[in-house]
Amino acid sequence: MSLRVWTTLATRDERDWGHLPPSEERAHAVRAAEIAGLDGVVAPYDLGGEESTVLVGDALRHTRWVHALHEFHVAAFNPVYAAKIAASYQRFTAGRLDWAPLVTAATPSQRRPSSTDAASWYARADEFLNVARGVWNNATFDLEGTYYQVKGGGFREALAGLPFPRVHLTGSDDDALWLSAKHGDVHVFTTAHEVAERGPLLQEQARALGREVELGVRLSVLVRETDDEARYELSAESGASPDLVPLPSGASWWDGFATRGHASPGGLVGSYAQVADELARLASEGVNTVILDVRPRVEETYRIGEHLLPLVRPAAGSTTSDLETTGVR
Amino acid sequence: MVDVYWRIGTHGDQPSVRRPHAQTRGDWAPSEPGSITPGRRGGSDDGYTYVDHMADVAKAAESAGFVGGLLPSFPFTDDPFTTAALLARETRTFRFMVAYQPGFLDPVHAARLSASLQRATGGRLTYNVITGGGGPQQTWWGDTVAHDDRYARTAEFLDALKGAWGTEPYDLDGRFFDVQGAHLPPELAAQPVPEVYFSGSSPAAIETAGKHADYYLSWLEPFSALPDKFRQVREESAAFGRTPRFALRVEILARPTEEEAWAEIDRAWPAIDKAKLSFDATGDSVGAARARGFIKQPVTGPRDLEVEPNVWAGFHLLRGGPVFGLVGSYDQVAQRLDELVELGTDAFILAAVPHLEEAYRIGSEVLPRVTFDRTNSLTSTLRSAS
Repeated sequence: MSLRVWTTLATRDERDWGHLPPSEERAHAVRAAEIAGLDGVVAPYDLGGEESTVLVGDALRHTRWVHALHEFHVAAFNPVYAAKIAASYQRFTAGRLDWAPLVTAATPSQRRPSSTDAASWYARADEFLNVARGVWNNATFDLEGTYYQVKGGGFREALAGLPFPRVHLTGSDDDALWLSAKHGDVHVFTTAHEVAERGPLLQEQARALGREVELGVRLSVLVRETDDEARYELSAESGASPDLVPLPSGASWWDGFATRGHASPGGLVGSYAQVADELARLASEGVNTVILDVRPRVEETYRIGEHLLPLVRPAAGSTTSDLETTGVR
Repeated sequence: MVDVYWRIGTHGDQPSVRRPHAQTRGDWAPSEPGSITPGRRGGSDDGYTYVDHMADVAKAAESAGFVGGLLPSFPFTDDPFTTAALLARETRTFRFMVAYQPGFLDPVHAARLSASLQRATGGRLTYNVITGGGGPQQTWWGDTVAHDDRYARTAEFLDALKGAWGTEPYDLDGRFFDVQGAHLPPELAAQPVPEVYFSGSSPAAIETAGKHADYYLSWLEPFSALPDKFRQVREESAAFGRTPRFALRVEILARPTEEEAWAEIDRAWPAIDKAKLSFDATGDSVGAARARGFIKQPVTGPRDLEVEPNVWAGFHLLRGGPVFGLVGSYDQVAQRLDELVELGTDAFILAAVPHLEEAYRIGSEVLPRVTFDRTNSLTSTLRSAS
């Protein structure tokens, strides 16, 4: 199984580059992911930052290989319009768009009828994905739902026959697993513990529906040539010895990445070989998507491409046989 | 200052007005030798997609002196917000006029999306707010709200979008949207709200336009009919204490001489769909139905559709879109545009097929001949965030 390695993009300004527009800073990080051979970049949903649809467009337009994972709240669009936006991206970028619809994340606004609790949000997300796939895969489509109604829908002509974005879902409670079993292509957890605890159950539920859901994990990393260097980097920043949890490979798990400005609070600290070993361990539990949160983004993305990827791809038993092929480049 | 926009087709393009509805640009027809985006190379598609051609049109319009371009939206075309996000960093002054229907997005997320585009482009986003014609096309989109209610929704949407466009929490217990504590981060809140070009001609539309439109946008109609239309909107808007400006979407066929311009149409004429000459209301266009009153039947040749000097009611026969447009020499077309400004037009969206080459032609031959003051995109200061 091949390991897909992604990085997350900034939604807020991270360096004070007064002489350049803010989008230029992000463009460098996108280009780094492309040049360094990563599989994709994640455009996060961040109410306090820039909007991800715009990030996705810029990333896809200026790359040839990387995919862009569009994280958005299901409240943001009606599902037909969301699918329409996705179809345009797929048409123009050789099918390099992926989806990460968020269900229970905070949203200050929604279309009526309102969803008021987790159950009603999941019901809405289920309907959203039914409609999006329904109009995408059928020349004619009707659905009379609680939240959405479509009559005489369906993508035809230039909108037909495109690859539907691979759906990445998150969460670890029962509702989240149920939605993934039904609609997900990849389920992204946030710790190795969650993968071990909930991953097999999810895959069992999916198989019961005749589906396959791949597993993924999203975490921070700080890797250096040696473990000492990586730890030194951390203590130099925090001024104190950080609270590290040792792992079998000799790498450590650290829950304090938020103090370094990362969006993923938990992650791995160690040498290239150690972290590659931990990722191989995850791969052996079925994980084939790894979303990495690194700072500073450009430099660390290069580091991952040069030093970590050569170790993790063979370590995960990579062959090119199951590489995604979504169209001409 | 008159803003003169161009248009970027989101549905492919044809290589010439002489070949009605022949789509060789984009992938609406299978690619073959001579196709562009994708083109053919070594027996297969060359990997370019229609957005690469749209980028060329945007760059052509920008260098030809247009302030920006309309990106239209229909069910089977490409999405304008997507196109603007893809092309944001490929132009410097070109404004993206994004057509969208407020019912299909959440207003606060639309504000975030728009403000992010404003920030990425230095304030180059403009809205063309459309509310939809109803019927099968609306339910295709997943929209079952009735006609007049859709305008109420458009109004509520724009209230919410503008309300959330700040740093203070905004609430709206609306009929269509439920907004609680919405606001933008300071960097986004500092961006300008896009100007609104508003389409729609029913009483409900004009009432909503009165409250929210910066520009009331109409297809070109015979010059004799425009003053009434403008007056009606002006009266409705006065009730809201607003003075809207007027924008016209105008098809152009301009050549060095009038004879050459009509000769283009003569060449296309044999291939047109003759059924559309009856201007039957069962056709696909409200504009066509409205045009009927101006046409003297029977129509036997192209000049029978010239309802006023240089105003031709046959553009829908050559390509999808509006009925009326201007046909004539560069001087004549420039003079008609001047007259439209005198009638009260404050902005134009011009278009001609093929969009790329004609952007250069109109930009270099017609625009220099108009006498009204137009915004020069290359020298004007961008409406950037302060």
